[in-house]
Amino acid sequence: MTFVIKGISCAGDILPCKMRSILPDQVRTEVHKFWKAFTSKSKAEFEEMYLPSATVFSSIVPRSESARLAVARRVRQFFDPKSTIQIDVGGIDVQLVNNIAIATYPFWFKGTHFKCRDGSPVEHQIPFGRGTQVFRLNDDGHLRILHEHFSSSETAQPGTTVEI
Amino acid sequence: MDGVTVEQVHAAVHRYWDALATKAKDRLTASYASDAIVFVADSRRTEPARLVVERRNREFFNPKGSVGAEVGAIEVQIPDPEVAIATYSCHFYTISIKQDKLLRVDLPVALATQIFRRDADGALRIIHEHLGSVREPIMSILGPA
Repeated sequence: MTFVIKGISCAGDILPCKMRSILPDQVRTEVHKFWKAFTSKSKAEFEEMYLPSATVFSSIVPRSESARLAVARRVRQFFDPKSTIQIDVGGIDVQLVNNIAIATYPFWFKGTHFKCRDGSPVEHQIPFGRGTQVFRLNDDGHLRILHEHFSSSETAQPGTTVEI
Repeated sequence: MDGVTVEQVHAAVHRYWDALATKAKDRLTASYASDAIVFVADSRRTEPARLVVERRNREFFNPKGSVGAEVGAIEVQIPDPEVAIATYSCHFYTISIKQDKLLRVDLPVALATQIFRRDADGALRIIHEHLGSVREPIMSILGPA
């Protein structure tokens, strides 16, 4: 097979990015990177995970949000210096279609010292979270989230929320 | 083959719900790709779509059971000529027999993500589905089964 090499460097090689194929482990790495950015409260890394046109279904908001707004909300609610975030991601299934990858996984999430939308403190407990993240391989060779859907298979316990 | 259009995705979503509402197992099966996986509203893990279809067939596709949804506005993203992501909210309900009683379960605000792929035969089929509920389910006993 002959590749037309345009001299673009993507992730350490020089193949034109449109010819790159996605590997399931790359997608799993991105999912773990996403949660690492979340738990380390790194706004810049967190923002960088999403495409500008990305949409998000969070677990208690009854409509899709732009990722930009979802990131701003999460930073406001979760990234307080006092807050603690614990996450355990289960096995990640990956489906691939051309330059699109769909990651699905269960997760366990617990957080303290978070803020409700009204600013009041709340504990977050999601013992049976489910995540779908759709990634697209960009021309620059990076996987970015195009759509995200988090939900909980159980409703919130008193005094807690499952919002994420 | 031409790329997927927004109208085709809208039609595919409505065909899917019509197959459920009319208890058309064959059409429901045909809505999914053979490798499709599904997060149903109350499951902790994904399941192969064919298992979900079998369960829906057993629980709802009988004379007393039913399943349906009032689908809201459908947003569509087409990130690839062969792939489309449909997202929408809906009022989802089921009626099934539980312990000799007819039980109705309503999810007043369910959120759905359905990812479609154009298969080799040209048909749009779901390869991934995620149904979640924003509010607690409302359960009501309609009477004896």
